[in-house]
Amino acid sequence: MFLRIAANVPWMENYSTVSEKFFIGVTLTLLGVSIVFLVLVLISFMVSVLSRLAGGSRKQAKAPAGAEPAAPAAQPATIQAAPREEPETETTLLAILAAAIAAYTAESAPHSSAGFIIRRVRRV
Amino acid sequence: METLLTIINAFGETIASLWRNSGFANMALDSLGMILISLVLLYLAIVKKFEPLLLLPIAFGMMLSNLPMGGIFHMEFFDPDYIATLGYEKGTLFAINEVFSHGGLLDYLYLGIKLGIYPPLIFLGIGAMTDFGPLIANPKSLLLGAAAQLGIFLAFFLALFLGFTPAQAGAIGIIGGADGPTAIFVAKSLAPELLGAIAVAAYSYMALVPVIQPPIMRLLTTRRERQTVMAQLRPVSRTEKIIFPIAVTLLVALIIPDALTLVGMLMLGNLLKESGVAERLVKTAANELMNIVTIFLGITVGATATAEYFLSTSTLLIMALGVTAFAFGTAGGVLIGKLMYVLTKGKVNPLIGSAGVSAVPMAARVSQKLGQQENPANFLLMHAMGPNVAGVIGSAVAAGILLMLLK
Repeated sequence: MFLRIAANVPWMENYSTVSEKFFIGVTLTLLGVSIVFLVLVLISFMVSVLSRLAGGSRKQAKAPAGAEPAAPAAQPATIQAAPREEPETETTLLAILAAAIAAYTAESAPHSSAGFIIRRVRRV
Repeated sequence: METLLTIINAFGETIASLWRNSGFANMALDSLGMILISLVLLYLAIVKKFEPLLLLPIAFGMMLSNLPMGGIFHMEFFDPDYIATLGYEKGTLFAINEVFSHGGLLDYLYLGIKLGIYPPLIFLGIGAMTDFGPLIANPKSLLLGAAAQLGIFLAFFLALFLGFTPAQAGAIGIIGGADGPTAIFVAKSLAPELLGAIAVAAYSYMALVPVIQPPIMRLLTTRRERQTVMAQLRPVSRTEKIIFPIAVTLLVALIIPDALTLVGMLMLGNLLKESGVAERLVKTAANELMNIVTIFLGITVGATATAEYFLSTSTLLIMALGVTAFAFGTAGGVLIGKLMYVLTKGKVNPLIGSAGVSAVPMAARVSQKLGQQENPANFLLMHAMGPNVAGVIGSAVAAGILLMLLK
């Protein structure tokens, strides 16, 4: 609504002098930055409310340095999906972890031939 | 004998006519320059792999439209000044009769840009490929996505002082959003005459994110800040992921109606994906449709870069302003990241702020790489994906604001 009003005010028709350009520049910059922030803060607030209503777990998982291997990955979407899948067997979990580590090592050291086998995962 | 002479004369005239109508005889020096530029861009796309999926069709479209006598594209049919001389009403989008009676293939395909069809369809595909989970898990990352749009408005400010009109300055500023379809969507409405230069600048700088961002990120952060390890993100439920696109569409559309087209299509694509009930549509939106539209978009955007419109000081200024917008956007994200680092007492790594400039997922990977250089146990990728996808929403919102105020 406010933007509609601002858009209909002919404040941008004269832009020949330095002061007019400065006025337009400052006004639009402040207006633009403020509205972008306002909208994204509102979305942020809405997401927070949504999380509570939808019953999303708000507990931040503790992440010791050694428990991070699921994060590094070449395919973010694939790894993001991993926690939701709740692997039923340890074999599945081991395969996921092995794939994540393989993806990571391939990215950081593509010519490395170091092989590895994950035999056991212990919850800490 | 006389017959033989007649045949020789006719043959000679035909050859002369062929020569007169050939590209060689009609090649202007500036068109030749544009063809050379297109060859350089083809080299960058094929050999250096700079955003090849888009830069390759853009470069080829540029080459096609600058080849004389081919008649494949007529930029003047879409030029408001030229349209006015033909007696069309003010505000007519293109010379309708001329396009449909004398138009070439790219004139018809360009209607997809002129009518604002391709960029929203690309957004549909992006939505179908995007996981908003990291953003939902950490909604504060939306602030980083907002801060990274700072470059758009600062570039607007600078462009105004460099002699561009407010509408042109807005179209140039949107390069700082680091989002090609958004830049094209805004430029075709605000400054169609600058579309070619703006698209080339936007896609070139998106490819150069790993070169442009790291020095700025290092400059604005301390080693200790860069080493910050962030806590793992919480899992996000399917219900949250389904409600998110619907709620964002409603909220953004009600506040900034001009952002509805881009945000609406982005969120439709995402809802198709997250709903889990429209797998065939998701595959089409994210693959076949996206690829088809990418070809049409690339080749027609490239075609707009004809010598008459591209070879000017404006193009050089646009390139300079584009990189400035990128730099300021990166700085804005990192600075808000620093603020969050202070407010959370060291729980947020400021490096993820730079990912707020969109350029998915390249900018997030830059954050990950820099963070890991400082601390090998640091895995920022998923944390950076939050601001990264927030940047897509942020740049679409900024585009809506510019369109609403400057159109």
